[in-house]
Amino acid sequence: MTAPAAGAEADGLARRARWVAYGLVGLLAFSTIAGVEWWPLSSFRLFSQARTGTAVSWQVAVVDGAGEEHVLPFDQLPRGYRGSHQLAPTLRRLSPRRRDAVCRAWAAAAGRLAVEAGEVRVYRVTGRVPTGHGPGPAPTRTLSVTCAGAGP
Amino acid sequence: MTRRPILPPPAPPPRSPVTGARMSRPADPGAAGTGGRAAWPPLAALRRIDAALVAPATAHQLAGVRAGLAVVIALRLATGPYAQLAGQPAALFRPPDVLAWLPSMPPFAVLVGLQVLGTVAAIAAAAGRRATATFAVAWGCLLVLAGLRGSLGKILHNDVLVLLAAVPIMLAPAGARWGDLRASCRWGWPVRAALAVIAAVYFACAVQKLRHTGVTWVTGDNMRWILYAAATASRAPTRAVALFIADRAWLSHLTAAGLLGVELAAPALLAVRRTRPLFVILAALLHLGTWLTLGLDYWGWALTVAVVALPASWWTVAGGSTRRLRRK
Repeated sequence: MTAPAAGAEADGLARRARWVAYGLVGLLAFSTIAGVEWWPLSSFRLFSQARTGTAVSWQVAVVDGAGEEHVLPFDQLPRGYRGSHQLAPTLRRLSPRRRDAVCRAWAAAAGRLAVEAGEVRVYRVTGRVPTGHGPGPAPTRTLSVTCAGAGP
Repeated sequence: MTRRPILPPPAPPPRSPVTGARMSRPADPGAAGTGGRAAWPPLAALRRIDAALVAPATAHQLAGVRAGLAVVIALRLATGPYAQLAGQPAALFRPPDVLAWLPSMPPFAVLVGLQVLGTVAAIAAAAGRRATATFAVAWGCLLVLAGLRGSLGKILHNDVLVLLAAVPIMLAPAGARWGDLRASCRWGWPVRAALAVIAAVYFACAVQKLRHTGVTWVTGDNMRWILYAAATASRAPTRAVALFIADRAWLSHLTAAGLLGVELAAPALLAVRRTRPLFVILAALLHLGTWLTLGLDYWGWALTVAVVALPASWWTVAGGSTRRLRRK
């Protein structure tokens, strides 16, 4: 290879290297600062919010024909259902059609546990984080959403 | 009759250490355009970083890093619970934007097919068989399957580091082979770009903690409550480690400071060849601790750091060959 050709190749490689390296680091900086989640690009807010002794969680319960309430044990359901309690905080913001679809899916999950669900209730649960030294005060539940578990 | 020059002819420009060709720019970037004056220190530092990015390395090093990342991808693909995702109701499907074109979770056969295809491709890439193409196929399969795993309601970060660090390796020029000790800037920049990505990711994690919580992330009770909540959730292999740390305020502060310190120090430790093995050890301890206390599976991050940072530390270019290999 002649010297000018080799120099041009080196320049081209250096340009490519800079585009890729600075481009990727720039995208990561942007997603961090702007807080965007374009997975696998992330804002990397892993454990970034300070935790306190108050814990907020969500509970999904189904009501059977006899009016008895059963809390859905997501960890005993197939993996496809397991993270779906994370949808609970967003349920109020969904359109009625999409919210009903989610509730029907949870009611069907209850059916897998031999519970015939007529209604689905979503609760916001607030309580103290247990420290492993005796029982703490009982958590408080607030009803957030109620929807029909059976389709029209 | 020829006229003798009054002034001596200017010295030819220096040769590029990469190609041997004459460079068109002055050799000392700090003196460029400054009339010989030293450049502003931050600018000089940026120029040194830039020069390091495009410095030469051997094809052997790039092939080693690519093989290592391929092994990490193969392990993630082979051990992930992807087949169990089948059967998720469409109403519960919440894919990341990159998979928003999918209407619902793919069926079992597609999930297993992607898992097998990706694992075989990753093994082929690790063995150097059509490495550029097979590495890209394996990466694509992990991207889809890890994205689907994060479609259950919560975005997951377990595979993010290997996916991002692999991008420069995928975009590297083809032809890097084991045992090829020719040094060129063709092979150096992909590994250094992967190092930069890893450093940026860890640093971003630290920046977000400081941005959203500040120093109270370390000085407050934050870590104790994280650990108490983890002990309650019982996802870790044992509750004892989390409770042991959480019950001792000083140890909780020390743990938080250590974690934040490792993340903040990542760019500095990864930029210097001699401290890269130290960061590999610190990252391994950080993720081992995360698993023991919180039960979170981040071994893919620890392995990714090791397979990128260690070869970049072992095989350094010195006069066109590598020190470690020259000794053999």
